Amino acid sequence: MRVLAAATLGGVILFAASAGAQTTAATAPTFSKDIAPIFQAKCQECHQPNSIAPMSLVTFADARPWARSIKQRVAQRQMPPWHIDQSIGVQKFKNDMSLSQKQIDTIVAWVDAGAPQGDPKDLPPARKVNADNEWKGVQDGYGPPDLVIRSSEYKMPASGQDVWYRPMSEVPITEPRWVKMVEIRPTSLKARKGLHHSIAYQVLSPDNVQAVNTGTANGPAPAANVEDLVNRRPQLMEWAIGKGYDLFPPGTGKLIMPGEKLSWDQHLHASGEEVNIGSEIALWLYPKGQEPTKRSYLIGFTGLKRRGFVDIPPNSMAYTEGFTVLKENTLITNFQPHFHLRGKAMEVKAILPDGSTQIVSYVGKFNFNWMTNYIYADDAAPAFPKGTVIQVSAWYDNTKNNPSNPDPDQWVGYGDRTVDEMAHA
Amino acid sequence: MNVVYLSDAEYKEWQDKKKAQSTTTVADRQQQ
Repeated sequence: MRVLAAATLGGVILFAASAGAQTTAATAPTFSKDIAPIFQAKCQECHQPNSIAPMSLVTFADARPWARSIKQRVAQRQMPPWHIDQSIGVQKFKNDMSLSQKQIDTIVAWVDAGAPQGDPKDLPPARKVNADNEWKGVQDGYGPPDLVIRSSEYKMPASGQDVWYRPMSEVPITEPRWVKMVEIRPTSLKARKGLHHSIAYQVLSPDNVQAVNTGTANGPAPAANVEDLVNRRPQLMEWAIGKGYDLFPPGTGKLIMPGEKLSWDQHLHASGEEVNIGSEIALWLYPKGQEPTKRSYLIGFTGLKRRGFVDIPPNSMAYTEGFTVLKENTLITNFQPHFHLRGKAMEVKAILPDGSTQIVSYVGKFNFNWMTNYIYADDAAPAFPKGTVIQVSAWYDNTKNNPSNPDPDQWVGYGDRTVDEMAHA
Repeated sequence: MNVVYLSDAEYKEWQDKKKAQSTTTVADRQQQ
């Protein structure tokens, strides 16, 4: 009887354990039902065949081998590449690509359960595959650009020093037009490996001198003459590796005029293979009759006490800060932290004339490969009164703990090369 | 950062809109 009771008890325990395991397996997320929709919404823009990502995440066969890596990257919020701190400052964005905590938890639970496929019948309809090197603006639903201007290409050798390639391009318009959105991309997927930044400077016509940001961040500066203004070249757009587009708030934009040119400043870096590298700029224009009333200006708020002042000893952390006084009431519409391989964290803070302070934005896990442009939602973009000081604080990691650091034993100073440093927002 | 300059009247209009919003969009850091 005791043996029978023990066997029965054992059988009950075994049944209970089996039932529990079945419950866990039954409730674990599956790729088909739970993960594929997340990947479609937040990952496949880049993680598809022939794209900038190292692997596709379109099918279960694509994703399954990478399950553990996927769990690590999403749990640490390294992927998607949205690194702005979500507990400080502005929290609403037009281009937020981050995963929600629920989505992260689902992905983690999927991997922890062995990354099951589930029933393929539960898969959502397949997402449309992007064209190679597709514009981010098209991927995000803004339709095709109205105008694309392409620079000539430079044959970058497989190895060697950085190159700054500065060709010019015509702006093929016959009447004034206003730009509401602008995006730069390398001329090919291969070119992405070697193009670190690309700036399209606007060589103005004398009829468009108001386009010049006449140093307004430091106060309106009367120009000596029209030629002086024409020779100052405002930035139509600045692009750096990993950035998407600039989208100006409704009612604002940049004016381009017939006869103007683009002067490109392209920073090329050897990538281990010879590749032709150039840039293209896409312009989405306001329809005629819907021209905006205000201009958008691109200002680099410095993170340095003075230009050229960066001094980072080997195997150390470092800090710099810069201050810019707003000479006009200013609406800030985005945040794009910029520094190089030792960049670790950046904070933008406003010190108002009454002495109060506000943290505008903070990125604590800067990654050089992702110069993400965090575009504030229209109802969240902050404005500050004339006299406000914008403080940019920058932290650098020149130790071996920084996985992007090419040489922690190297002293690092200011410069344009990828191995040098700078800091601005 | 991209910026738009506001007249005094436009800035006041922006301030009035912010006050009307139910939540603050720019967080204040507590001074230690």
